[in-house]
Amino acid sequence: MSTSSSSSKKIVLKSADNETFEIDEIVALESQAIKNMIEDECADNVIPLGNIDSKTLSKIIEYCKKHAESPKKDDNADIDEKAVEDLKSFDAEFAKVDMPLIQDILMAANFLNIDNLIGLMCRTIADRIKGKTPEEIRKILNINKNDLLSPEQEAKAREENSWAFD
Amino acid sequence: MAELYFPEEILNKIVVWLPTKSLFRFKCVSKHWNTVIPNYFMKFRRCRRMILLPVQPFHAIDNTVPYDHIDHLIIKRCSPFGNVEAFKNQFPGHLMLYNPFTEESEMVPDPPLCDHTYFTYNYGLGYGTTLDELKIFIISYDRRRVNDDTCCHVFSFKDRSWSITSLWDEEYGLWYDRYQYEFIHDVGTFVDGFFYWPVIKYGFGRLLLALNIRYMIFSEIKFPPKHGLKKKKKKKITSNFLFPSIILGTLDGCLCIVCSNCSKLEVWVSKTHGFVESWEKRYTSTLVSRGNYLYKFEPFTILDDGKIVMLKIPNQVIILDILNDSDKEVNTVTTPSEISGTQAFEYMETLVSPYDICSSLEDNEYATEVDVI
Repeated sequence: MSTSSSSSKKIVLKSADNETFEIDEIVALESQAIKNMIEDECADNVIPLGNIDSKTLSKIIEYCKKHAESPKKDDNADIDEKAVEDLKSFDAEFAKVDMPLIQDILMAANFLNIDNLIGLMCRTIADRIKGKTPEEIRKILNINKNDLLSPEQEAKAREENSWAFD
Repeated sequence: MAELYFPEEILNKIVVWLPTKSLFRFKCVSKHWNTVIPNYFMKFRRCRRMILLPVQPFHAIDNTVPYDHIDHLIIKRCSPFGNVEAFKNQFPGHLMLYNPFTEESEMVPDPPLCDHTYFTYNYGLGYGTTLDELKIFIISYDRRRVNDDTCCHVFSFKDRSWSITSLWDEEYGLWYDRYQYEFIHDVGTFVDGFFYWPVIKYGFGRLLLALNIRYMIFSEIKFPPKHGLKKKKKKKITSNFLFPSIILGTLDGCLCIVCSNCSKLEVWVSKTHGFVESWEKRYTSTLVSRGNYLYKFEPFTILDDGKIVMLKIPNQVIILDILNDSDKEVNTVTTPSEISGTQAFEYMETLVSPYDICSSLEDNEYATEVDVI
């Protein structure tokens, strides 16, 4: 570990496709997993993230940067409403990406343990599948064919919950 | 991503945002979903508390969604019978049982010898001595004053039948002249063996009318003392008559009233039945200081957990949490004229059908809201 205690300590993240991202430590701390690593002093200056590709990682860093900059809600009771609004609209913009990327971000956020981001992605997915049929959802979420119900099981599930299909 | 398999904890975080109806539909998405969703429902959904705002169309508001996700609160808009107005016109003065979750409804049979043309009714929904003795109370009186036989009809869900009790009380003579009271709300609040209605007594003003359902005796209860606690603010008069809006409810199981005007809101709790001294001011909110002075507020209801559902005129529903003094706005658009005087309800989502409500009451899963129309 570096002995430097300057305010802008850097952390380097390395994606699955070997691209490196240098970020401020404060940004990396948005991830509970990285925070734990740093606290346990088991993080080198370069943290390899073997299951996250660079496209996903750069999105995640964009999110963490924004959220690290924004004042935290529980810091003091006097919340800056403008900052909250600003963060909200950032989140809304951030979520406007295609489904595969959302899923990648979600899985990566889950791995990195970034609570807010998990929540945002889950909501986004819920929004997109809300009014859809099961068939459409399978397509949207690219559900593995091996995981489908047998026709008999499906018929049973549909019959039991017929009221939900109106 | 070629194959996607959300771990259960992730899937749970997705389905929390889904309306329950689509949730059931999504059971057939995959084997995984078919396992996770029922698990989830058993774990969380069964105790999901909802708020029903019976404006046209009915709005169901999720009371379990975290505060900063306001746009997801309203999960459903529905209209029983297609249209409540149509129901009112077709069956004036009738009662209907409605489950907002499955959207099933069932008419409650009429009390015997019930003349909807000339009689006016005030209602209450409450428990008997045990939980499975859910009952509906209807007080009826003759608008024409021809027939003085004011009485109370009681519908028991247990035996699905009506009984009738005369409300003539010679000793107290209170109900002798029912016409001295004007009910502010038709639907009473039930607390610990008593129904309470806010009324206007002619020549006196506003007070609470309490009905002891065991002995069928009425009594009057005065509102909190006019000048409240004078300790600190000597000049400020906290007379409740400054508050045009009064609603009743419960807070932690105690009777409470919410009085408000366009700039201020107070919550008073009564610990002991009938004692004016037991009124205690629990909460004061100065709506004006929130920078809201341009708006008018009208509370619909107070929920037992200290949330006040109210309308920010013209059509914004807000939920004010008096425990941590925060509020959230619920996105809703309704015709403002229909919203005034509405009382909201809290209920638990359930699959119990209004048809077989009698048999399923015993397992304490009663949750179908009785809506009084």
